[in-house]
Amino acid sequence: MKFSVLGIACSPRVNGNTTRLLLEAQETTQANGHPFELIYLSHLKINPCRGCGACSAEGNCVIEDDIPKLQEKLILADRIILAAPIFMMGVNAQTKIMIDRMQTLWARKYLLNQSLPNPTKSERSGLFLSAAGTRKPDVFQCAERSIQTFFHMLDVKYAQACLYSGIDQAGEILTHPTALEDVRKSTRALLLC
Amino acid sequence: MKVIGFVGSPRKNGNTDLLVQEILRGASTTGAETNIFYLNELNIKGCQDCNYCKENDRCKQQDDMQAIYDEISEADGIVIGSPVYMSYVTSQTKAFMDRCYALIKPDFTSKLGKDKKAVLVFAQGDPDEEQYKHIYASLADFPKSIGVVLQETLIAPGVRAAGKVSDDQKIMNDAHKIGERLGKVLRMAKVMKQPDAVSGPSKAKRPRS
Repeated sequence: MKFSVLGIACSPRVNGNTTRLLLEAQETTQANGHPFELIYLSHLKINPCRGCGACSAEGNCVIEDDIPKLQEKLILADRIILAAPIFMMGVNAQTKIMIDRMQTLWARKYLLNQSLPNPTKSERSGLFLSAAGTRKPDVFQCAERSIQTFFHMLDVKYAQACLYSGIDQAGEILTHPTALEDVRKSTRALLLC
Repeated sequence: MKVIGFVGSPRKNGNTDLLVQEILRGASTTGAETNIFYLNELNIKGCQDCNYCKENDRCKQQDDMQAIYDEISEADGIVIGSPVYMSYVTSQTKAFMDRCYALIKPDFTSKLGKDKKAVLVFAQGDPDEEQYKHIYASLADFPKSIGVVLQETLIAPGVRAAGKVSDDQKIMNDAHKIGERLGKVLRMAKVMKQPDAVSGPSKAKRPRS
C-alpha cells in the first residue's frame, strides 16, 4: 500500500537543521516507493488567527491566505512529517501561526459535531522532527505539546519524534552521530503501520 | 517609573486584555507611568534565525519590533499576557518572544539593564488549572532568558467568551493587587538605587575630617 506523505518544513532557514532532517525523511519515503510532497512554510502566505470566532458558526476561516489549501493537504495526507526548530523554548512563531489556524477544525469537531473526512478509513499518523540550540532539560516540552495538539486537531496519531538539543548552526545536525539514521528508521516505521 | 503591558490576544477587551489592563491600573496607583501594546496590531515578523543580532545590537528586520526594543529598554516593569491557543501562547505572542532573542548577547547574558521585573498573565478556556502547568512553568523561564526577573504569574482558567473574566471579581482584584505589588517593588528598587540610599542626606551634613 502506498501512503501519501506530506512534509512541512517550518524553519525560516531553507538549509536549517530540521529541514535537513526532513529531506532525509523525504529520501527514505521515496526510496520506499511512497509519494512525498514537501512544503516550505516560509514560501506560503500565512496570517495569525484573529480570534474573531467566525469559525465557531460554520467552521470556516475568514482569512484569505494559503492556510485553507494547506489545511486541505493536511486533512488528505496519510502521513505527516513536521520539521520545526525550537526558538525560545517552543516551536517558532511561523509554526505556531499554522497551528493556531487549525481552530476551524476545533470548531468543527467540538462545536459543530462534524468529523474530518477520512477517505481511506485508516488511522493517520505523524512524525515530529526538531532541533534546539540549547541543551536545557525539557527544551522540547512545549513544542511536543503544541505538535500533539496540532495532530490531535487533524485526527493524526503522534507516532514518533526525533528531537536533538545542542544543535544550533545551520548544518550542525550532520555532525550528530545518529540523527540521520534515526530519521530514516522513524520514517520507515511510520510507513509500516 | 514605567510599566508596560503586551497583550498577545488578538481580541481587544478579551480576557487577557482586561487582566493586563487591570494590572497596569494597579501599577499606576503606585505612581507608575503605564502603556499598553497590542501585539496583533503591530507588524512583528517571525525571527529569521540569521544571528545578525548576535553580531549587532539590534535585529536586522525593520518592523515594529524596533520600537518595542526601545520600550522594553526604557521600562522598569513588563507585563506579558497571552491566552492559550492550541496548548501554548498565541502566534502573536510567540513572534514577540522569538524576536526578543535579539535582547540576548552571544554569551546568553542580557543586553538589557538590571532590575527589570515581569508579570506573566495567561487566560485559558479550559477550567482545569493543572492542564497547562508544565507549559506555564516553561514559559516562566522566558523573562529570565532576556534578563528580566519574573515577579508573579496570574492564571485565569475557564474563560472563553471575550471579557468573561470581568465577572470574576476575585481574579480582577488579584490582577489589581499584582499591579500594585509590581509598582511598589519597582519603586523600592529605584529608591535603593539612589546614591547613599541607606545613609540618606545625613552624609552631606557630616563634618569634613
